[in-house]
Amino acid sequence: MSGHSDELVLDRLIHEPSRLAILTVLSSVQAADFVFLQRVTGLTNGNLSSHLSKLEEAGLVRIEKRFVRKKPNTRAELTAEGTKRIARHWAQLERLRQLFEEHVAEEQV
Amino acid sequence: MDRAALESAATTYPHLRGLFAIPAGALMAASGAYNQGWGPFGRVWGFLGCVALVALVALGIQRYYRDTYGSVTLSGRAQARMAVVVAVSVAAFLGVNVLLGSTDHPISVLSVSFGAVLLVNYAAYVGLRVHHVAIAGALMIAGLLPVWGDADSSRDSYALIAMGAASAAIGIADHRLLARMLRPGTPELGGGDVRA
Repeated sequence: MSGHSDELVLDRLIHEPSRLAILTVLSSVQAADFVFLQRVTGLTNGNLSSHLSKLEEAGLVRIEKRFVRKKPNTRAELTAEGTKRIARHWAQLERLRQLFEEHVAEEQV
Repeated sequence: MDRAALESAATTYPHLRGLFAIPAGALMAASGAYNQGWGPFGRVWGFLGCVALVALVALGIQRYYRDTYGSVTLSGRAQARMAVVVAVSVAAFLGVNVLLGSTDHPISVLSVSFGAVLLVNYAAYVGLRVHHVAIAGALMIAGLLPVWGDADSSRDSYALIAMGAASAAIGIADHRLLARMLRPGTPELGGGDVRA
């Protein structure tokens, strides 16, 4: 295979759609809480918890559990590593899309 | 999954919590009524009671948004940008009204400048939507109509009431937009193909 495909290996941990959605949301803000992430991603409590735990174990997000007006509140933010990896992942997806379009254009010629 | 929609949902959420505009608009309208001495708002205690009620309603709205839609903290860059836009808007609004507010033309500089501030702020934070342009534009056009009387008349009081009504109307439309955007299972946010 060419050098292109070697560089274009997608990060499987991030590429899972739910985790990609969580990281994309977190990449655009400083932090978001569990309720907001659930609203945006449409995940159930259990699924969101599970994905956040995996991302935390991988060192991509930092989770803070606290109480707001006596109610538990979970807040998530990207780590420096998470910021770098989600940016690289979207760049890889964009390159893949461009390569695909070039391939289609070549086939049409 | 649409990357832009996900990012936009997070960055615009704090600005689309439009229910806050209802007590804010009510406060503006109450200020206009107080200036005119209308009904209970015309008395100091009536107006102060209205301020207290508005504060209580705002607290309830804050709790509603936090419990229903959650909370986000904007990035430092977004917060700095917001501070600059607010500072420039307030300075321009006050400057225009100090310089032109007491002219004898029968227009409402207050309404026109407030409409312009609304448009600039919504353009900077969430991108202009049809309802922003329609309502703020209508307020500006109404302000430019030569029906407001001279500087000694009650034009600023009427302008405050119109500004309050416009703010509340935009807020209700913003909230409806937010509710649609963060509806559980919204396909453009949660599922489907990955789109950059």
